[in-house]
Amino acid sequence: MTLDRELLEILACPKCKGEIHLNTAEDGLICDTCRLLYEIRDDIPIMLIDEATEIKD
Amino acid sequence: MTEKSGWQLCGDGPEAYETYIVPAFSGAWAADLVNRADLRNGDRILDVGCGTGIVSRYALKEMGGSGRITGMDVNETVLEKAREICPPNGSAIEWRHGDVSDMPFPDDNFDVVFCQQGLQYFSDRPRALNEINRVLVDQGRFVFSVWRPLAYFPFYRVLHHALEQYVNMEAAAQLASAFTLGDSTQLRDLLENASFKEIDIRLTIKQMRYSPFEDFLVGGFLASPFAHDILALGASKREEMFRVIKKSISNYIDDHGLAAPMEALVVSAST
Repeated sequence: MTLDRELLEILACPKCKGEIHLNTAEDGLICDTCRLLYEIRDDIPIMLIDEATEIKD
Repeated sequence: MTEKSGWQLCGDGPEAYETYIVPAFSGAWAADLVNRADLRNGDRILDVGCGTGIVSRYALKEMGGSGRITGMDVNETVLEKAREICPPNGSAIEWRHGDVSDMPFPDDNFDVVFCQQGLQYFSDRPRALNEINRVLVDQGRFVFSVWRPLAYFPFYRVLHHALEQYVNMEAAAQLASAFTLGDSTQLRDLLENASFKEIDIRLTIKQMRYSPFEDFLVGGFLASPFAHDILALGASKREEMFRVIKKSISNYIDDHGLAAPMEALVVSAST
């Protein structure tokens, strides 16, 4: 896992441009506002709205 | 997928791009683009439509490790190649899979945005330019290049004609899509409408150079989005097409291989 905290600060949710954070498994980035999970594949975050997964409660 | 409609590379395309297109011309144009930006220590840089990462790599060389470089592309296969050449671990370049229409960055996040030969492919150019403006700081610089119209490219004009004749109209149209934003009035309007200032458009002429020509022709096709169509032609038709192309471009082949001019508008603008 090479995404450090500082690098997270320069990423935003592509939909709402708000803050995102690492999930507990550290294999994805979560936007709490949009309830979307952006997968990280081979150290590259897939920051595409179309490919994000909806988070269900 | 809204970012690019034309030259999407897949399969071995990114490898062929690095082997043939980068040494023939893309590397030289990237170096020129980075020079135009007059980078300063600590600049935060975004390379939009980074492809296999040639502009990001030149920027890294220029910055000597100071600053921060992010390469973003909508195409996963080119990013895999970029990552292979410059792994995120230990390199100052971060690779991001993203779409220029909805960029995954906060406002005011970069000092410089580069885009080499990308803007013409963006399906919604005004939206892309607004996004680029949004992620740039105040007084940030947007430095990019777009090819002039196809008429200024002897080599690609010949190729375009051959694709129409031997392959199909879709492949010819895909090639032509690279040359659709070479009008400086149109460019200036687009930039002004996205609130860019200090717009400076420079007509730049360079040469594509590769030896031997035959290798470049085959490699260039492999790096193209219509590689499959060329392979599907069958050997004899393909060889006939290659012969016709070589004959038609012979005025631009010397003892050192292909030497054909190419023209681009290299543009800088500030926020």
